[in-house]
Amino acid sequence: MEKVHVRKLGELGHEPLELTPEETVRLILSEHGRYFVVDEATRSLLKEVTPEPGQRIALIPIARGG
Amino acid sequence: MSGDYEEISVLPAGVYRVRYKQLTPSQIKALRTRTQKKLQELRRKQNAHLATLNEIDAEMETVNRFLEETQNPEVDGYIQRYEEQKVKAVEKAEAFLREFLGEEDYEKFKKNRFLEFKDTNSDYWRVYSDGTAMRYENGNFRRVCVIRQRELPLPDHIVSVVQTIREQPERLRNVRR
Repeated sequence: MEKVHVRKLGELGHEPLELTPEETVRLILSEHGRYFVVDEATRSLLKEVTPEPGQRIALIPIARGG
Repeated sequence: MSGDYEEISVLPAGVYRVRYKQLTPSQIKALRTRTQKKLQELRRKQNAHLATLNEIDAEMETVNRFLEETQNPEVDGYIQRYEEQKVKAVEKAEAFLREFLGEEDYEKFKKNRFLEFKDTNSDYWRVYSDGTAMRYENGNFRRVCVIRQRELPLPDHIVSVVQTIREQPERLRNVRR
Protein backbone atom coordinates (compact mmCIF):
# COMPACT_ATOMS: atom_id res chain seq x y z
CA MET A 1 0.00 0.00 0.00
CA GLU A 2 1.37 3.39 -0.96
CA LYS A 3 2.29 5.63 1.94
CA VAL A 4 1.67 9.28 2.67
CA HIS A 5 4.79 11.37 2.06
CA VAL A 6 5.22 13.73 4.99
CA ARG A 7 7.75 16.53 5.15
CA LYS A 8 8.16 18.07 8.58
CA LEU A 9 10.08 21.32 8.67
CA GLY A 10 12.41 21.46 11.61
CA GLU A 11 15.90 21.87 12.99
CA LEU A 12 17.62 19.42 10.68
CA GLY A 13 14.38 18.69 8.96
CA HIS A 14 13.11 17.74 5.59
CA GLU A 15 13.86 14.12 6.22
CA PRO A 16 10.96 12.55 4.37
CA LEU A 17 8.63 10.40 6.43
CA GLU A 18 6.71 7.62 4.75
CA LEU A 19 3.65 6.94 6.87
CA THR A 20 0.35 5.19 6.57
CA PRO A 21 -2.71 7.49 6.59
CA GLU A 22 -3.40 6.43 10.19
CA GLU A 23 0.16 7.16 11.29
CA THR A 24 -0.03 10.52 9.52
CA VAL A 25 -3.20 11.45 11.40
CA ARG A 26 -1.60 10.42 14.69
CA LEU A 27 1.50 12.53 13.95
CA ILE A 28 -0.58 15.57 13.01
CA LEU A 29 -2.78 15.25 16.08
CA SER A 30 0.27 14.92 18.32
CA GLU A 31 1.60 18.21 16.89
CA HIS A 32 -1.79 19.89 17.10
CA GLY A 33 -1.61 23.67 17.11
CA ARG A 34 2.08 23.84 16.31
CA TYR A 35 2.08 23.18 12.56
CA PHE A 36 0.10 24.10 9.49
CA VAL A 37 -0.73 21.04 7.43
CA VAL A 38 -0.27 21.88 3.77
CA ASP A 39 -0.89 19.82 0.66
CA GLU A 40 2.32 20.16 -1.32
CA ALA A 41 0.68 19.62 -4.69
CA THR A 42 -1.88 22.40 -4.32
CA ARG A 43 0.00 24.42 -1.66
CA SER A 44 -3.33 24.72 0.13
CA LEU A 45 -3.92 24.45 3.84
CA LEU A 46 -5.65 21.25 4.89
CA LYS A 47 -8.34 22.16 7.38
CA GLU A 48 -9.42 18.56 7.87
CA VAL A 49 -6.81 15.86 8.07
CA THR A 50 -7.79 12.95 5.92
CA PRO A 51 -4.54 11.98 4.22
CA GLU A 52 -4.63 9.67 1.28
CA PRO A 53 -1.99 7.24 0.08
CA GLY A 54 0.43 8.96 -2.26
CA GLN A 55 -0.44 12.42 -0.97
CA ARG A 56 2.47 14.74 -0.21
CA ILE A 57 2.01 16.73 2.97
CA ALA A 58 4.18 19.39 4.57
CA LEU A 59 4.05 20.33 8.23
CA ILE A 60 5.00 24.00 8.50
CA PRO A 61 5.71 25.41 11.97
CA ILE A 62 3.34 28.19 13.02
CA ALA A 63 5.35 31.36 13.65
CA ARG A 64 5.05 32.96 17.06
CA GLY A 65 4.96 36.66 17.75
CA GLY A 66 6.93 38.27 20.51
CA MET B 1 67.07 52.72 86.82
CA SER B 2 66.81 52.27 83.11
CA GLY B 3 69.29 50.06 81.29
CA ASP B 4 68.67 51.99 78.07
CA TYR B 5 71.54 53.70 76.34
CA GLU B 6 72.47 55.07 72.99
CA GLU B 7 75.60 55.37 70.91
CA ILE B 8 76.88 56.69 67.63
CA SER B 9 78.15 54.04 65.22
CA VAL B 10 80.40 54.98 62.34
CA LEU B 11 80.07 52.39 59.64
CA PRO B 12 81.21 52.27 56.00
CA ALA B 13 77.61 52.87 54.91
CA GLY B 14 77.14 55.93 57.12
CA VAL B 15 76.95 57.30 60.63
CA TYR B 16 74.17 55.95 62.85
CA ARG B 17 72.64 56.95 66.13
CA VAL B 18 71.60 53.70 67.78
CA ARG B 19 69.27 53.48 70.74
CA TYR B 20 69.17 50.34 72.85
CA LYS B 21 66.12 49.63 74.93
CA GLN B 22 66.37 47.18 77.77
CA LEU B 23 63.51 44.73 77.90
CA THR B 24 61.93 43.50 81.06
CA PRO B 25 60.99 39.80 81.24
CA SER B 26 57.29 40.65 80.82
CA GLN B 27 58.12 42.76 77.75
CA ILE B 28 60.13 39.88 76.36
CA LYS B 29 57.17 37.54 76.96
CA ALA B 30 54.78 40.03 75.34
CA LEU B 31 57.12 40.39 72.38
CA ARG B 32 57.29 36.61 72.06
CA THR B 33 53.48 36.39 72.16
CA ARG B 34 53.11 39.10 69.51
CA THR B 35 55.73 37.45 67.34
CA GLN B 36 54.05 34.04 67.69
CA LYS B 37 50.68 35.58 66.80
CA LYS B 38 52.19 37.26 63.77
CA LEU B 39 53.72 33.95 62.72
CA GLN B 40 50.36 32.19 63.17
CA GLU B 41 48.63 34.87 61.11
CA LEU B 42 51.19 34.47 58.35
CA ARG B 43 50.70 30.67 58.44
CA ARG B 44 46.92 31.13 58.20
CA LYS B 45 47.38 33.39 55.18
CA GLN B 46 49.76 30.90 53.63
CA ASN B 47 47.24 28.05 54.17
CA ALA B 48 44.40 30.11 52.71
CA HIS B 49 46.46 30.78 49.61
CA LEU B 50 47.43 27.12 49.42
CA ALA B 51 43.76 26.12 49.68
CA THR B 52 42.87 28.57 46.91
CA LEU B 53 45.74 27.29 44.82
CA ASN B 54 44.59 23.71 45.41
CA GLU B 55 41.03 24.65 44.36
CA ILE B 56 42.35 26.36 41.23
CA ASP B 57 44.50 23.31 40.45
CA ALA B 58 41.49 21.00 40.82
CA GLU B 59 39.32 23.24 38.64
CA MET B 60 42.03 23.47 36.00
CA GLU B 61 42.26 19.70 35.96
CA THR B 62 38.49 19.43 35.39
CA VAL B 63 38.53 22.12 32.69
CA ASN B 64 41.48 20.45 30.98
CA ARG B 65 39.68 17.12 31.04
CA PHE B 66 36.55 18.71 29.51
CA LEU B 67 38.66 20.37 26.85
CA GLU B 68 40.36 17.08 25.98
CA GLU B 69 36.99 15.29 25.88
CA THR B 70 35.52 17.90 23.54
CA GLN B 71 38.53 17.79 21.28
CA ASN B 72 38.64 14.09 20.61
CA PRO B 73 38.21 12.82 17.03
CA GLU B 74 34.83 11.24 17.83
CA VAL B 75 33.42 14.63 18.85
CA ASP B 76 35.06 16.32 15.83
CA GLY B 77 33.39 13.73 13.61
CA TYR B 78 30.02 14.41 15.22
CA ILE B 79 30.41 18.18 14.68
CA GLN B 80 31.41 17.64 11.06
CA ARG B 81 28.42 15.35 10.41
CA TYR B 82 26.10 17.85 12.11
CA GLU B 83 27.44 20.76 10.05
CA GLU B 84 27.09 18.77 6.82
CA GLN B 85 23.54 17.83 7.78
CA LYS B 86 22.80 21.49 8.48
CA VAL B 87 24.10 22.57 5.06
CA LYS B 88 21.91 19.90 3.42
CA ALA B 89 18.94 21.01 5.52
CA VAL B 90 19.39 24.62 4.35
CA GLU B 91 19.63 23.45 0.72
CA LYS B 92 16.45 21.41 1.09
CA ALA B 93 14.73 24.28 2.89
CA GLU B 94 15.69 26.69 0.09
CA ALA B 95 14.30 24.28 -2.51
CA PHE B 96 11.09 23.99 -0.50
CA LEU B 97 10.82 27.79 -0.19
CA ARG B 98 11.04 28.03 -3.98
CA GLU B 99 8.38 25.37 -4.37
CA PHE B 100 6.21 26.96 -1.66
CA LEU B 101 6.31 30.50 -3.10
CA GLY B 102 6.11 29.42 -6.72
CA GLU B 103 8.69 30.36 -9.34
CA GLU B 104 7.39 33.89 -9.99
CA ASP B 105 7.18 35.00 -6.35
CA TYR B 106 10.47 33.27 -5.56
CA GLU B 107 12.26 35.22 -8.30
CA LYS B 108 10.72 38.47 -7.02
CA PHE B 109 11.73 37.57 -3.49
CA LYS B 110 15.32 36.91 -4.52
CA LYS B 111 15.50 40.09 -6.61
CA ASN B 112 13.85 42.50 -4.12
CA ARG B 113 15.00 40.67 -0.98
CA PHE B 114 11.43 40.80 0.28
CA LEU B 115 8.02 39.47 -0.61
CA GLU B 116 4.97 41.72 -0.42
CA PHE B 117 1.46 40.35 -0.09
CA LYS B 118 -1.91 40.89 1.55
CA ASP B 119 -3.32 38.86 4.41
CA THR B 120 -6.94 37.80 4.86
CA ASN B 121 -7.72 41.19 6.49
CA SER B 122 -6.34 43.00 3.41
CA ASP B 123 -3.35 44.29 5.40
CA TYR B 124 -0.14 44.57 3.41
CA TRP B 125 2.87 42.68 4.65
CA ARG B 126 6.49 42.33 3.71
CA VAL B 127 8.61 39.36 4.64
CA TYR B 128 12.31 39.99 4.15
CA SER B 129 15.06 37.59 3.19
CA ASP B 130 16.52 37.84 6.71
CA GLY B 131 13.24 36.49 8.12
CA THR B 132 11.87 39.77 9.48
CA ALA B 133 8.25 40.74 8.83
CA MET B 134 6.69 44.18 8.45
CA ARG B 135 3.07 45.26 8.34
CA TYR B 136 1.84 48.38 6.57
CA GLU B 137 0.07 50.78 8.91
CA ASN B 138 -0.33 54.55 9.08
CA GLY B 139 1.63 55.08 5.91
CA ASN B 140 4.65 52.99 6.86
CA PHE B 141 5.82 49.42 7.02
CA ARG B 142 6.44 48.65 10.68
CA ARG B 143 8.39 45.69 11.91
CA VAL B 144 6.45 43.10 13.88
CA CYS B 145 7.91 40.80 16.51
CA VAL B 146 8.48 37.28 15.30
CA ILE B 147 10.30 34.70 17.39
CA ARG B 148 12.76 32.76 15.28
CA GLN B 149 12.65 29.10 16.23
CA ARG B 150 16.06 27.97 17.33
CA GLU B 151 18.05 26.15 14.68
CA LEU B 152 15.23 26.33 12.11
CA PRO B 153 16.94 26.95 8.74
CA LEU B 154 16.25 30.50 7.52
CA PRO B 155 14.27 29.45 4.40
CA ASP B 156 12.03 27.30 6.64
CA HIS B 157 11.55 30.25 8.97
CA ILE B 158 10.50 32.41 6.01
CA VAL B 159 8.01 29.73 4.89
CA SER B 160 6.68 29.58 8.44
CA VAL B 161 6.26 33.38 8.68
CA VAL B 162 4.63 33.71 5.24
CA GLN B 163 2.23 30.84 5.93
CA THR B 164 1.33 32.23 9.37
CA ILE B 165 0.62 35.69 7.96
CA ARG B 166 -1.47 34.20 5.18
CA GLU B 167 -3.52 32.03 7.49
CA GLN B 168 -3.41 33.51 10.98
CA PRO B 169 -2.04 37.08 10.84
CA GLU B 170 -3.49 37.81 14.27
CA ARG B 171 -0.65 35.71 15.71
CA LEU B 172 1.83 38.41 14.66
CA ARG B 173 0.17 41.61 15.83
CA ASN B 174 2.80 43.18 18.04
CA VAL B 175 4.81 45.92 16.43
CA ARG B 176 8.43 46.14 17.51
CA ARG B 177 9.14 49.24 19.61
